[in-house]
Amino acid sequence: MASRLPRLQATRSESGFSLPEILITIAIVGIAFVAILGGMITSITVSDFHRKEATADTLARDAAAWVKDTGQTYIPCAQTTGPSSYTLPPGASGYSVSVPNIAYWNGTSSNPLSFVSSCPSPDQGLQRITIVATSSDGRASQTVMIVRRVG
Amino acid sequence: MRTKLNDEDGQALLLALAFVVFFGLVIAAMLGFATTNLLATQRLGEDRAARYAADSAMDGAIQYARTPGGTPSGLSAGAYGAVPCITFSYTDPAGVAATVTCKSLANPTDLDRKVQFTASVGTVPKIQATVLFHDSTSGSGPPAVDVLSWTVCQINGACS
Repeated sequence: MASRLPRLQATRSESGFSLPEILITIAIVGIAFVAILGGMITSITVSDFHRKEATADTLARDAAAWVKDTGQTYIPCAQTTGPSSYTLPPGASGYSVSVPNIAYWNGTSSNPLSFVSSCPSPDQGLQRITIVATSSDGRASQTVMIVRRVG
Repeated sequence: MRTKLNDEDGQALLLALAFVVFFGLVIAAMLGFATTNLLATQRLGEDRAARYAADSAMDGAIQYARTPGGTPSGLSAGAYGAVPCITFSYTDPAGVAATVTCKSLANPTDLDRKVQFTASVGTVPKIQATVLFHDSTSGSGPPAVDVLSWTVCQINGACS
């Protein structure tokens, strides 16, 4: 009976994948998968960083406009904190906005205008105010400098 | 048993080449898109920094022009017959430099000073303001000031 069956001849085209072929395929797919995964993780990280930078930037500029244009009274010899400091707008959750530095015009310089760290007496009506917005995780920070004029 | 026909020879190579060319184009387009975005962000940041510097310089110039200190006195800025007008400059801590020039719009019968200031970064005007200094009613203190117009110039420098 068995002798009547046609003899199957294994040809190269009909043979399955060999072990080395499978291993190489798995290796290539694995490397590609890891590369794609790495790219996606990097993309997500950068996107998060970029979003926080954009938010911090918006908050810093919002505070700058708030200090300069909302009709806040000019404070002679304003300080960075305490009662003689400018009011900042309410920030956003996860971010802080502060004024770390105020410099004062010396009253005479014009070309170039220069600012000093100690307030002259009397105040000369021009202050350079530094505003910084920082995300709570410290990954993003934006700085804006404005010049505030009296009156 | 499948017989390989002569017509099929090289088809795999063509498919592989088409695949490589297609994905090469897609990746090149994506890279170009990303580069454009980065460039636009950079340009926007530069323009914003320039506008902040110009804005600061303008406020500095206006305040200088109502202060008797300085050499020459700030009160001479834009006074009638003061030609050329005083030049102001301001460089922010990031290194962006803005220059303010002024032009007197006063007339000899008016005791107040009307001055047109133009703040530029490089050679491109960024902000133009017309300011009236009330010298006639200032008394001993600095003159009151009215900003009559405050124009943000276009990106090509046109301020009208």
